[in-house]
Amino acid sequence: MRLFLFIFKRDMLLAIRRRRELANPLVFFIMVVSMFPLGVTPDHAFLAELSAGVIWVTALLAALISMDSMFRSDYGDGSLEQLLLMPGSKVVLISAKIAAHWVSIGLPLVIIAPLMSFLLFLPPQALPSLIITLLISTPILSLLGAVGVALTLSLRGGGVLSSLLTLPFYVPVLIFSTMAINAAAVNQPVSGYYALLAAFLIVSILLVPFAVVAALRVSYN
Amino acid sequence: MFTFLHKYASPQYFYSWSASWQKWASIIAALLMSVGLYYSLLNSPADYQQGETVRIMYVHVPAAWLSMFGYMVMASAAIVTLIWRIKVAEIMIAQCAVIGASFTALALITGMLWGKPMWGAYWVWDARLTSELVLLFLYFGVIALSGAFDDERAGARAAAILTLVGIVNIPIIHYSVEWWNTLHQGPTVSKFDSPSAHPSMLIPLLVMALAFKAYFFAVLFKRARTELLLRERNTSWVKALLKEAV
Amino acid sequence: MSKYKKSNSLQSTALQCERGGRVLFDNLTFELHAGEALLVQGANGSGKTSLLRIITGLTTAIEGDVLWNGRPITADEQAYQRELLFIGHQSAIKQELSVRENLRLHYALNGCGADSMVELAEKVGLRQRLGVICSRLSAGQQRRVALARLFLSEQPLWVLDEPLTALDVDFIAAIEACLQAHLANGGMLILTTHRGLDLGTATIRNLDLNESAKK
Repeated sequence: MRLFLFIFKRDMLLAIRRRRELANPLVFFIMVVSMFPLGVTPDHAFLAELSAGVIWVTALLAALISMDSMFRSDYGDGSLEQLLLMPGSKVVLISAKIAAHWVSIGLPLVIIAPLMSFLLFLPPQALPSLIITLLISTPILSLLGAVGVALTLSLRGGGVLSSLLTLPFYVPVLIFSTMAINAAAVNQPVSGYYALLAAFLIVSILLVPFAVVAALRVSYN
Repeated sequence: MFTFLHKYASPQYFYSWSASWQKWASIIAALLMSVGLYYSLLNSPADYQQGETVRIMYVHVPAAWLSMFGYMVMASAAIVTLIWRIKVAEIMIAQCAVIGASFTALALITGMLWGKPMWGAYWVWDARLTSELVLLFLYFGVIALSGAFDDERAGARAAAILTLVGIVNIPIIHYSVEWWNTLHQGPTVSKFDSPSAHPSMLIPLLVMALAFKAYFFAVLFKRARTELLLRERNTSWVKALLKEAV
Repeated sequence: MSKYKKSNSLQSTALQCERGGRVLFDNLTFELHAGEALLVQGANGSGKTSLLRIITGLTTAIEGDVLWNGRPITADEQAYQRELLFIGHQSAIKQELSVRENLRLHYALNGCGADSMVELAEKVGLRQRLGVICSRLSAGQQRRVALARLFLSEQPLWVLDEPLTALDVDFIAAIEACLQAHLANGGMLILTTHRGLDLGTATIRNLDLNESAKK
């Protein structure tokens, strides 16, 4: 636990020092969402139907472009080596880094998502489920993204490749989340979807850090 | 037991014993394929609804089954790679991925060809087609990752980890896509349901499925042996082998 | 006076390492005891960094083990890591943080340290610059921040990859003194360096990777 807090604090401090970079995924999120009415139609009913999917796909992309910051700068300056050589559980270390990444990237996405829902006329009764699905699922995005980044750390241009590796794994998150929002929009029960997402989150929390540790070992090969 | 395993998995041993396996797999594949094709194309009933187009099934369904089977073989190779660091298993991962991706693509293409007479469109977001598409993406990831490393052994280990993350994810992806599909399109009867119907259709289908699997192993051994020679070109046993051949 | 256990030893059984199908070294063995230094030499690309990564346990060799006091380091990774200080050829300094914040991370990484932070900063000649963000420092000053860990270290085994890069003459002398004191205390040292280094009276073993590649 001490190790977890130490790493978490360190990464949060670094994130605060790099706050300009933190804003980039958010700006990206807002820009891409606002491209849809321009590219498709400003029609109220049509956008309302599209909104859950658009917001979610855009959130996936925004999370993906920010994934690199999780390990790459630490890998580049040698501090990841030092962290891995600390006596202490590697799984805890990785979990702390992923948690810090989620707080600095995923959480802000959740917070500005309601704003996006106004732009796209998401039915108001679906707004709570948008926020809840984002809250449960953005940690999954950070977790699965961490595997992709860790596997491609030692490669030139690994960022794009890691997106390609990660995106297929995001399919269930996307499906369950948008289904929940669409169900909420027509006043249908949604708790089943939340349960599924939560189960997916728990499985990811339990398994992903081990995969990341193994992947980092390959990157240091 | 491990020394036994290591001995039979050492590149040189593998190269010698896999030769006959490859030969037999090829022979079995050729035999089964000719029998299966004869029955499925010429000597089985046409479907009362779909007519002759149902014969696409005899290629499509075995290809789809094999696309999953290939991933399972790849995952087994991945486990062996991560635990025992056996070179032959490392090579198998990338080779499985290439063959598996080819059969996934075949399943998609035949599915589209079948879709045209069935739905009037080459592409419909049918649950199985969508699952196959995501599976193809997963294969692409493994191929891209294993090829991206300068050091092939590191590439194989990275691909092995990705494969195993994938094997946990595939059931979830599959289930989510099925569910998504039923909710969006309503529970239509999928034409890809395994024909519980008549043995006259089932038997050729199973023969074709076995033929595809034998073919898979024949190609897998062929590719793995070639790749092995390439990677081990500087070792004494390959040099000796080449001298013999010349 | 010996600060560390006299019985400490680091050995390897025949190590093998290859990159991209090329064998970097094979059948590589070394041995190191308390108070001794191991100088790893070799041309660029001869596998120095790979060897150090194997020794630290960041990666494992294809064949062979590294043994700490007779036991493979993978057997109890955390116990080994408590005995180990590694400074790579990258400084592991966070550019966004101040000297003080980076030094604080050092304390956390080392787990302990007798000196106060001001004393430590004095030793590496950065006392006036504690509040400065590291990206504003010169390469040599950043290296000093990284090497400050040596003055804090309570670990018997030091593994240093090119520690002297970008340092000025005065500070090299300070580092030499620090390394000599470490060895005199019964510490162990493994390092790569392109320039000569005065390690005083300690036993120095040489490990030439060019030779082992030829074998």
